[in-house]
Amino acid sequence: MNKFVLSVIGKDKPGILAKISTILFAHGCNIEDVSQTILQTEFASIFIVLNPEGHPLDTIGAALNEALGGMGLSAHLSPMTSAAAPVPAQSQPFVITTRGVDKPGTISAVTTAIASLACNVVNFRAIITQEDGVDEMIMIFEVDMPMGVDHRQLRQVMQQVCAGFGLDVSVQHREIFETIHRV
Amino acid sequence: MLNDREVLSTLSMIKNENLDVRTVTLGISLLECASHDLPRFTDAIYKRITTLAKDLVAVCDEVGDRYGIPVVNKRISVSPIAVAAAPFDSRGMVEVAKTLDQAARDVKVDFIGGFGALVEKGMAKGDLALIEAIPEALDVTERMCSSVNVASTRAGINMDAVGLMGRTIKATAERTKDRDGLGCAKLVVFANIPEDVPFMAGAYLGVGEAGSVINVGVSGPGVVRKAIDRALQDNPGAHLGELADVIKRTAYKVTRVGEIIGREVARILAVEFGIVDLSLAPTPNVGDSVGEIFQSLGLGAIGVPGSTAALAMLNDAVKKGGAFASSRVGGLSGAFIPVSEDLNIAAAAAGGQLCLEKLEAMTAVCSVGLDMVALPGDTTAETISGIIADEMAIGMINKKTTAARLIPVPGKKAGDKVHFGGLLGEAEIMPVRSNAVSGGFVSRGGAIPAPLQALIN
Repeated sequence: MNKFVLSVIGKDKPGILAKISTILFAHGCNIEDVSQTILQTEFASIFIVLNPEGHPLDTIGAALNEALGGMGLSAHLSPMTSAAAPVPAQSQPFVITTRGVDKPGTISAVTTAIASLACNVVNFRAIITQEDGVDEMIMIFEVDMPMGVDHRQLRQVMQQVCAGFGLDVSVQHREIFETIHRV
Repeated sequence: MLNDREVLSTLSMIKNENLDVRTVTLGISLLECASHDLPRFTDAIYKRITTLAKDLVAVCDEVGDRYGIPVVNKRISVSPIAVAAAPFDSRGMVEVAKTLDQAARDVKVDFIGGFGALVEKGMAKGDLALIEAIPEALDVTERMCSSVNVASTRAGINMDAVGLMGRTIKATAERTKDRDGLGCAKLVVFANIPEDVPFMAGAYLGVGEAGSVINVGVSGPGVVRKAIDRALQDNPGAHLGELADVIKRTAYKVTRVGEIIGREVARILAVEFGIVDLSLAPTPNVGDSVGEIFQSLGLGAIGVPGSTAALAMLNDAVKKGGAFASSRVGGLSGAFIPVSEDLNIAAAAAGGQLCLEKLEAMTAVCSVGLDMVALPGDTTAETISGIIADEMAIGMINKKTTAARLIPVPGKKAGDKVHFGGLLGEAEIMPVRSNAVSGGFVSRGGAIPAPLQALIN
């Protein structure tokens, strides 16, 4: 297995990706997958990297941290343990959206409820907006619901937990969003 | 990955703007049940309807729930009964009506349509028997709707049928006078009726359709109105071309919703998917009114000068958006302007901004025609036929569907309130000018010939 996972986190600024990719290229590595996100001022990215020449990870890591450290970023490398992508279980994609006043413990309660039905969160975003001077949080979870679970059961569970936090919740098949907005 | 805007705007359309699938209508052909024997026929149609439709309501609820889009009405349309039940007399037709009503109750759909006839060129024995049966049939049933097509661009206007329908409407009102003539709210006279209308009271399964088919009626006046309001908030100086584009885009989204729900219901029921009818069909609720769209466009009320132009723009934009969204757009597709079913239109009629004549003018560019118009109880059958004839002429000459759903409310006069309940709403009775002077024309009967289609207006 000659792949590793690289994660980089820190302050966002121009030139981060250029620096990372140049160092990886210099070590004969090839980036296979990458995802990055920026929240407020913070940058985070994760890379799957092919390392065909078998350069030691600590050498690559040292080079990356040396270059990125001055930019307020840190890199972490770990070898990939499985070769093949996991076989996805039969599931249906649903979107759970909650809306309400931001309170501590909300995300924990909602995600615990989602997990209680073995639904996997594949994408999650939380947006804080001001509504009448109060912080309102909108959470959007894209989840894969196992085929054996009834969507009405998911909705019921979500309504129960969200009612406790005064949140409005909606549970809908993901297809409806794509149908409405995409040709 | 979905983006935040897609998710939030969809939720807003559903929750705040009353986006729903207004109706899923299962069309069922009854022609294979044909028999000379009345009990055998009624048994066969009851069995066919209840077998095919037994899961309709549950499936619609399940699919609506999965997508988070409510399917408000589940309905059935059947082959024109005047064809399927041609051998029977009017007594037999009433028995058929009762059977249809019972089947609708037993599968828990709110309406069943198809107690109708197509007589634009002439009336056969079955057609006549059916029309004769209409007043009693609509009196003794609750969920059954009736429609009669009396004109088409190719055949002209059957004025004998128009005269007969004027009398039939009066008789139906009389038989249901304890309910303000409610029977007439379930009876429509058409020109150029499409074969795939999912909306009542005009729904029936055309003889050119499959044995069973799912047609979907999507609505969304609330969504369109809010989209216009938002566009004007962002750009108060938006011109009408820009607003037409906003309506078109909104219609596209609404149609896509209808198609996905309809196809899924059809797949589960293992019947063919027919069409999406993209009509802006109002309900008597605030925020779900076609009339409010006119106000958002800048008109004081529906019916004031400019209303016909606004409706023409609205209708065309709705069709353009729908046509891009789905290759199975059919039915009527446009904007309904039913008086009692739309709070805002009913208010304009009561306030005097909307009169019967302006309403008729607007039907030249709307989805259907004079819809849910309550008239004084002393409106004569001949006057009603005259109004129908005028409406049919608009449809015939303009190659469009038009219809008249008129309710002469027994014992009430112009300005009185009438309440039909539920989706049928309530309205003030509109005055009819020049009552009882059309008889000389209407009673001549015969046919108004089909128009020349080359030298069009």
